Amino acid sequence: MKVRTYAESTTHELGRALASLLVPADVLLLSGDLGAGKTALVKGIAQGLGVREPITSPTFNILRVHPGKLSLYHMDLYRLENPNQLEDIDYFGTLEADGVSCVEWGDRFSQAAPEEHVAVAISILGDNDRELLIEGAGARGQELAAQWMRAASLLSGMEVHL
Amino acid sequence: MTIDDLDTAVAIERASFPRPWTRAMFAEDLSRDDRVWIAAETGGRLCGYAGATWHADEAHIMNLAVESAHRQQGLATALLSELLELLVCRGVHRATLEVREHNDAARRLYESAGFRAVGARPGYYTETGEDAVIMWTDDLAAPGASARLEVLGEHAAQALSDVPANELVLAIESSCDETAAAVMRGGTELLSSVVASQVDFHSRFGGVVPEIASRKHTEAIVAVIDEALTEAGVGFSDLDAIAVTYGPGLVGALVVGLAYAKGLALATGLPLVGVNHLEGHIFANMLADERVAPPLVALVVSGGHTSLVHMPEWGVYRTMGETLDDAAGEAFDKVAKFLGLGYPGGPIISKLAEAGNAAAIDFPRAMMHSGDYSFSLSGLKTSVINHIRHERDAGREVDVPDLAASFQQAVIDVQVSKAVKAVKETGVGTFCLAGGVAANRALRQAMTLAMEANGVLVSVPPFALCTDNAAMIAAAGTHRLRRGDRLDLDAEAVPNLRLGE
Ligand SMILES: Nc1ncnc2c1ncn2[C@@H]1O[C@H](COP(=O)(O)OP(=O)(O)OP(=O)(O)O)[C@@H](O)[C@H]1O
Ligand SMILES: [Mg+2]
Repeated sequence: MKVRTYAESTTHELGRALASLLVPADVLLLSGDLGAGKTALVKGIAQGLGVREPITSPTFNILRVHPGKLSLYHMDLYRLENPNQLEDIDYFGTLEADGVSCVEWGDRFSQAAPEEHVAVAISILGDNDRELLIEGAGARGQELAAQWMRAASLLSGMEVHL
Repeated sequence: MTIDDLDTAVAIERASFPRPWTRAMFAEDLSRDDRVWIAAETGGRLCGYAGATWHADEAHIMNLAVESAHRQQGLATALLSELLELLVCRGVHRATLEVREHNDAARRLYESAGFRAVGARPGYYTETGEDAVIMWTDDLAAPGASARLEVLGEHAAQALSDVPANELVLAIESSCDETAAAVMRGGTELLSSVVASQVDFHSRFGGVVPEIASRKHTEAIVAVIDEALTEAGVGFSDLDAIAVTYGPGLVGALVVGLAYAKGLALATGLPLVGVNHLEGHIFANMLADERVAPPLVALVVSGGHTSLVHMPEWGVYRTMGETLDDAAGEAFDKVAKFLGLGYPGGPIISKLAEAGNAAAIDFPRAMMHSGDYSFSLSGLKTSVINHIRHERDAGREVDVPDLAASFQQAVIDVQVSKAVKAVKETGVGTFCLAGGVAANRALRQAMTLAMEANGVLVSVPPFALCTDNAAMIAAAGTHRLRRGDRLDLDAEAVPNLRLGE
């Protein structure tokens, strides 16, 4: 499934649409080049989860925890050098904790993908033009991806291909 | 309390009360026989006092003040308890005082000592229009009262406990990538400062290379502390306190330093002091230049932080603004990475920028005129990336030095403009540029020029103190130690700890 957005605010809206569908232990793996819009999408999700504090880039800190209707675990694997470090940062423990995980550079190590997840690969098509490729894995992942895209197809300003 | 203390006392008065005592009032009062005055000091300097007058079995508490930097450490409680005890020794049974209606902290203090509100003088404080609440306690000499005084006193003893002036502090820092330890005497004399990544671990400790993760911190910490103590030529038994970073940072990394520090404090009985990592960066400036002292404004810029902080006085911090997305150092790293230039990006970009034209590309100055102190660097990152994409699509070579210089200039312009605005608004005379990005030469220069034009003292630490280290934690920790700040042994790491909270 694919979504095309033409402004950062639309990507935020796409994130907000996902937020209401999330349940504890859902995992989103985000990929795409620098500046693709991974953090931008998480900002939208956070808004939808009622997170009050600003969503800042987790690149340096690796993990930021934001309280909201559900806790948001915002992670970034950009600075990790090998998959062993996933254990060191308690990556798997965090995924299973009582909140929602959004992982930037979530495609960096194949080991980082849990069985159930939604993968979002963002490509830069133009200055304000982004294509998000969305794929669910596992029963819950597929269900969530499908629900999300159905919700997105009701929104204006973006193009959704189911 | 003597005549020599009066300048400090008058300063504390002014900062504490709408209707401060004057020097003459103190001088006249101190010379009288029917008065009791007691003082609290830290490092030989007055930081609080209390005074009362008495007649027969009745006393009137006239004054009680603590310097704002030393509040909330039980000092006021200590002073009140001590004063009441002295009055009881003089045969006093009842005491009264007046307190400003909305001074909740003071009212709670007096209530805990057994005082009860019995009336008010309406509008007594004409300066604020508030009532004076009249409080009395009637049973100072009653059996229960001495127990109460003792409880008060116990708190107090801790706050007043004499910390030696040349205290030896071991500091531990593990908030993100670096495991570091330092030993410092008297808050300024650095005896050792060890950063794991700088130690030749391979030969000495069998190949431990510290990095991001908590497991690596765990492996490194024992060796780093050992090395710091050995280099300083001291043992655990020589120490007076342990200081540790407890936030902000990566929780898994923070807990390693914190757990070790708590264990050490428990085993040795030494006091444990918690330091905010950003506060540490500000103290790095003080270590490098002894003229640096509050009131000041600091800009802490690193890979993980972009924070503008107002420090009006010792121990008081107010975060004026932060980045809403990427940190400044992160933007440098990511632009360098996108250009395929390597890591860390800061030094590479700044080197290239020297050969480039800073006006070549007009990158956006995000938030420059937002009117607040927030920063945003994600848009700049994206503009740089877009620019490179456009050039490549058009079949043109990217002029890397021009791009580096123009990007760097965009970062600098915003940082300088916000910092100058902050300095003007707060009216401080000192500005600190702190954190890893403070090593950027062009930023240092621009900041120095802009601040000096405004008559502000600028401080930029030497390179070794810009990046994460434990020396700065030792300096900040010693300061907190003297103020009586202690971290509980069951305290937890606070990954999103903010300065001033
Ligand atoms: N349609 C769009 N959706 C999302 N972002 C957009 C869009 N158009 C432009 N942008 C811009 O792209 C940038 C996305 O930056 P962001 O920091 O979210 O990227 P990222 O993928 O998280 O990068 P990094 O790998 O550095 O973490 C922002 O500057 C945003 O304004
Ligand atoms: Mg990001």
